[in-house]
Amino acid sequence: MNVSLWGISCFTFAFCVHWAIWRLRMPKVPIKTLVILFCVAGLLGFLFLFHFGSDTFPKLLHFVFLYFSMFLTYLLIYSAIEADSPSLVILLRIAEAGASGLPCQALKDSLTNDLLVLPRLEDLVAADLVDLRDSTYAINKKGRCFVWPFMLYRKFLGLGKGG
Amino acid sequence: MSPIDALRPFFCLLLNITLQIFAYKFILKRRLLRSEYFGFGCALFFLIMLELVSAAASPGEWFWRAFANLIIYLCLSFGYFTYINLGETARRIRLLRELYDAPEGLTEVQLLSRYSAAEVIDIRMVRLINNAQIIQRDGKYFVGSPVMLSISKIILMLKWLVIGKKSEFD
Repeated sequence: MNVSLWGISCFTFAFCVHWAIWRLRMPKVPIKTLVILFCVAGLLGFLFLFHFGSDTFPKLLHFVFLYFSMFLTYLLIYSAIEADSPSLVILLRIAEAGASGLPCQALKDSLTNDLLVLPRLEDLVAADLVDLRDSTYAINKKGRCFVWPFMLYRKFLGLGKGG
Repeated sequence: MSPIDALRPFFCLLLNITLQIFAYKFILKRRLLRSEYFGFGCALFFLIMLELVSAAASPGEWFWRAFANLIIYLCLSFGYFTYINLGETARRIRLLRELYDAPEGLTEVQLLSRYSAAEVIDIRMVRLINNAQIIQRDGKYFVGSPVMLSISKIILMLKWLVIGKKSEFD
């Protein structure tokens, strides 16, 4: 069996199921649901190939690499479209103002901490990367492990804090 | 097909990372985005060469193997590109960094004094103006390049298609 086409077909199938579920009812924990859905579809695709195909181990490995690399890419794209990008919001607001332009102060007044920073802080608490106790936010062990590779890389290249 | 054939995109990703870091530090005068393009392009060229060379050895299954390896490499490189850019632009990573630097924790007010919406906007305005995506004239902002605006509209359409709304606050 052509493992490349099979990998793409399995991914397309998982994407269609995901799209249908999301349009019917948005899951409460979208990323977790997405991971479970695509992993199950990938596993089923692999088992089908293992049982009914006559493919060698490297070809099965190729299927796994292809399917999960496409899934990883989609997961990253999904995370990007799930939250509003500030640059995108800024550009669209300036475009809406049209030929008369958007005053600098009006832009700053309309994009507040409630829109740009606090929802992301709530995301971190919801993702269990940050603990909220007595009105104090503190990074926990999971949060440290998560942010450490980013800090290490930026420190190695001599880059600032970013943001 | 051998396991080594299936691992080619991973070797090329390692090459991409090595060349990107080397180019950033020693060739491209600390220009991050250009170093990313440099590492990606060189490793892509190397992968295509590897696939062409191996085509002579096993012509029968060559096309689909090369096709899959190319997709895997593009996906892995996109992952690395996102990893670098998350460190550069993601608000969540920046907030975690601020909290990492304060082991005793921070209140909302303390956190916002270190990283606020004003800073988020300032960083992005500088980036957008430097890239000529927007223009500042007489205290007002105007769209500079229609390219970025078109990309923004495509992202908006994707948002609507996948999650059924144009903004997370809808």
